[in-house]
Amino acid sequence: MNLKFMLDCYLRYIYKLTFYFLICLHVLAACDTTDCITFNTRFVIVDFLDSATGNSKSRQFDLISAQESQVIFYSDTILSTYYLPVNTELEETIFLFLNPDQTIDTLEVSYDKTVILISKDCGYDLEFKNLGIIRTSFDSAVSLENELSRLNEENIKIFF
Amino acid sequence: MICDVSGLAQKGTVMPSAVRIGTDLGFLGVSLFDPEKTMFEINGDIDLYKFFITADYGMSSWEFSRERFAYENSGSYIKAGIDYNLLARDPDLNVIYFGLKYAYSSFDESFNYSMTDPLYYDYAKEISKPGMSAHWYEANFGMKIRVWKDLYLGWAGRIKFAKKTSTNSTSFNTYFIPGYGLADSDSRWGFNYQIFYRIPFREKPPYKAKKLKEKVERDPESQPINNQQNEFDFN
Repeated sequence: MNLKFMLDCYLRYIYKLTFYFLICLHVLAACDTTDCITFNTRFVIVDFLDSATGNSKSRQFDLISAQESQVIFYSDTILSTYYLPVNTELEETIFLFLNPDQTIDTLEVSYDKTVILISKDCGYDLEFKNLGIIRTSFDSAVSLENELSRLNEENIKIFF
Repeated sequence: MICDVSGLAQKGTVMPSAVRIGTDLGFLGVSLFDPEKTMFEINGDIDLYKFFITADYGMSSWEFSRERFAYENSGSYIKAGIDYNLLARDPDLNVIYFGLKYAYSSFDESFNYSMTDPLYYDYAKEISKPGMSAHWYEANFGMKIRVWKDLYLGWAGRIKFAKKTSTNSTSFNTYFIPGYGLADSDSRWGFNYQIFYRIPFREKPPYKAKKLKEKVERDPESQPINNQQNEFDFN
């Protein structure tokens, strides 16, 4: 057995071994499915706080909706935390709050929307970042977390 | 590396000895069996003894649609670099190599979707991203083994890294980059299964040296002068 023959056999053996190993690796990689779950949400978490103490304080509204929506998000509710959905087509939403005395407060927010195609099986998702307050009729409002995520505890604080 | 090449140049042996032209078998399989994808890649290398100048050119298109969305991507890419051959003296001209490549891709991308929104209103959007580009680097390793005459089969493993994609004012995140793969990560690994045909320009120097030695052994009187021997001496 000469050296050339041995080298030739050795090379072919390595080649076959790695070739089959890589095919197995490819098959395993193909079985690895994309995780369809994301933490993105379209809901802004609005907390109401006592302007004197800074503690959470429930506030009553006859209804809460948004300017472009035909749906009432909350009706005759007393809560300290409200989950308000943004308009996913636009990059601004004006929320309307009808008080028991029939006056209306507004909260106008802006955000950047990004469409993310997760995979052809999972579909697409919408990501909202850079949340900011454009204007509000409430006494004082502060934007905290500027990314809308299910992991957030609050996005906007409103003091009254 | 530069020193080594310049060293060869001094001996007059940096001239390319062969070109190897091939294609990716995996991409051909994808194009045949996946109706949503069309992919094609041409691979080439120029044999410079221990080094190969390599280049790949590829084209791809990918279209798929589901109930609420449709995606389209088409483009081309080019990769160029240098591989180092660990088996430069192999008589069968088999190759085990590693190397580095620079890659550039240009592509068009579009995404259409419809949203059913019970809280506001239903709408549909069309997002088009023409003239997109991306570039990255690839660290390669692989083998090319002679299977019959000048026909070679090879595989290549590659780590793609330092990806940079052109910016676009649209609100859609780039999903796929031809030649790179899914764009959701700054680095990716990939494999290619390739077939090559080697077209020699001239006899590779180690063969020449061996033949000279054999000739000398057969006929000591026809021993070449020192200069001729040194021309192919790589020690």
